[in-house]
Amino acid sequence: MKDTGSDSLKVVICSGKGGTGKTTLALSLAWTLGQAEEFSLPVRLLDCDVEEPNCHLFLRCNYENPTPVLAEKPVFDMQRCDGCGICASKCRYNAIAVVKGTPLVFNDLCHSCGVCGVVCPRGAITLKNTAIGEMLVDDSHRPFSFMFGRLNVGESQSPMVIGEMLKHTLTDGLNIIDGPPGTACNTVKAVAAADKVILVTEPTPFGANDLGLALDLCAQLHKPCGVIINRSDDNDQLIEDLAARYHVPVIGKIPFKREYARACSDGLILTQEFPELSAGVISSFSHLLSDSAIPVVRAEKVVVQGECRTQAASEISQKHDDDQELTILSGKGGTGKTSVAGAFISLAGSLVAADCDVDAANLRLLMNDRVLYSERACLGSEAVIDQNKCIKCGKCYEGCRFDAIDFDSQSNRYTVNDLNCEGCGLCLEVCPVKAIGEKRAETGSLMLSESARGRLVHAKLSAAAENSGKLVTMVRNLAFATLAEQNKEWLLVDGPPGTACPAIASVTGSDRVVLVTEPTIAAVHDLERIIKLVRHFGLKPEIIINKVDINPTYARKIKDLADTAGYKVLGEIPFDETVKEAIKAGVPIVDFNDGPASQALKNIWTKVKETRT
Amino acid sequence: MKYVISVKEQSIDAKIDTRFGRAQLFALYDSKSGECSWHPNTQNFQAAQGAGIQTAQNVVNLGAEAVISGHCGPKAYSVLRAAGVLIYAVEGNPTIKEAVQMIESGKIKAMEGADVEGHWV
Repeated sequence: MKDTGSDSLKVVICSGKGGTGKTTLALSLAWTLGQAEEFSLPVRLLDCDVEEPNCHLFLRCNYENPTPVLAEKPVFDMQRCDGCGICASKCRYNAIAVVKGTPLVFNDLCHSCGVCGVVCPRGAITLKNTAIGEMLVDDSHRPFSFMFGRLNVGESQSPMVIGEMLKHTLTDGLNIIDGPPGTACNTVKAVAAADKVILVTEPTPFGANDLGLALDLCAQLHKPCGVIINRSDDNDQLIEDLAARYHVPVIGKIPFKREYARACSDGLILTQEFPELSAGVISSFSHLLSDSAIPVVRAEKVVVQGECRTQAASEISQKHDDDQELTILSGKGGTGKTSVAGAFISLAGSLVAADCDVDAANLRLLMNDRVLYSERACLGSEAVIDQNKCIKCGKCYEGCRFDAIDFDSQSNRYTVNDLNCEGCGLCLEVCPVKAIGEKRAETGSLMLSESARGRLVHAKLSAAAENSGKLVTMVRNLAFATLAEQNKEWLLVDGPPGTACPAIASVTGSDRVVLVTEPTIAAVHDLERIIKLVRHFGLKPEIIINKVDINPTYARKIKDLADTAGYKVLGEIPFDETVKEAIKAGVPIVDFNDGPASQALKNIWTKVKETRT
Repeated sequence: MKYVISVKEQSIDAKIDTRFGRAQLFALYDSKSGECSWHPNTQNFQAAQGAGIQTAQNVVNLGAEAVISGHCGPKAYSVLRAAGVLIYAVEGNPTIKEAVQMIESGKIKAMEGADVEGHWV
């Protein structure tokens, strides 16, 4: 994977969650290093956040004819197919159905694993390339070349698009890679290719929580990192302590200024607009090259108090007819979704909350909770090779589409790479001596907490784990059960960012959806995508515009968008510096003070209550 | 007519579950004979993805001629239609018999497309 060319360097920029300034930093680095005299190397910026690519908005680039990214999908020869249905039963992704002898393929669920072709007894299935996304290298851009990539809406194979993009890194220059948010499989794909990783965070308990997750991932992948604190306000002890605990240096800080936020909301590159920031960016980068370190993972004990239920959460579901489920979503991370959720929880006084952002759950940071119950969530499976039975034929190695079988020529052993294994089951089918079995893969843990503000259901997804959508469903099911047990009527769901499977799992069957957005070029772009998703479920989204006065132009755009489509704008929250203080204190803003943001949220909650469906 | 109905509990007075793919239980109800049998949907209820597709496939295999549920997404719709199964989406919370009666008296018409907008298509 790794480029051996001595002049080539791949720096991946990540954050545990979205909205911390990842894209801002990637663009600034590319802009500044692309023309800095001390770095004579050519620079390429790759936007690998393929589910929500934003860099092109800042570069004012609109690409007409990107190259399609292809993935292999099954095609049936109906002369040969006898409708036996083996392909449907072996597909782990439920992408094939055979009804009354006729196969139906759902390409958007297909992971291109190839099992169907292997198991078909009549050789009726061939795999044919189909577009799942698009990408393009723009060499004409200055002072750095740019690579754009995007997953088609509704497709699930983002790691495949990222993998294709990474084949186009400069072999004689610096590659700055804007990675996907979170710590799931798409992030792993990007980070695995990195020589160095920059982790961007902000000095709040949320930022620290998510940084911890990202550091754990880098430790697992043995990647040297450095931390950059965005929106720094000279009170960054929380992050500095955390970085020190992992033995990773803080390589730079970007100060918190309203004019920076404004420039970003307009889609401007920070160091281009504010050249005084360039020196800091250059010094951070030098610091990364000289001092970055592989994180040292602290041992952490999960303390579980109270009684442990034996019943699996997934079995105790069922929403009642009079329950009112309100889901908060945002499309893009960092727009203030969790702050709004925290305020609602406090104002409602009596409800059950579910944090469905399983990639980076942090609602509990506002609830001061105590874990009552915890269970391991084993949802997927991974292959295991029995070395005593293995005859070293290499068929699994050749057949695996996910590079998940490693071969060590010294010991002459084939082993499964757990981080890459998708659990498709292909190796089990091709192994001639049945030496490959499966173990249950731990996807994460599911927890029920108690706090003064009510009960909270939350989860933690293991790094690189699949099935986050399923874990979201488990969180909601346990929340429904808790709702019944506690005799509460309101269930408040803090949803995940993005529009992929976890977001879908959060919206299915909800009563109403509130979208929290902010007037920035990137957030408006992502808002349009999330609205599509909400409408798919037959719901009319209600919109809250956070930090409304940061950029009146984009605020107007959001209102026009809502008006045209007939969506209600529930309210507008003014930019209020004390919100950050409240987050730092770990208190919902409505309990912290009675400032402008606090008052706006109180009014919004009154409207939500009055319009109970 | 043989109906497969997503229901909330195992009882002839059970109300309809508006979810299809992730419903936990299905009733197979024969409106001619009045016979009713029960079919759990546990495996698909827990599916990470594609629950609607597999549920629809199972429903077809149960011998359904019509399906009654609350919503039906485009994927499940295309599977059911490929097998010639009629789909009825009901509102409110009718019981099995109430829903069947509404359909047989012509108050509810079979769906002519997924009732929720195309899943990205």
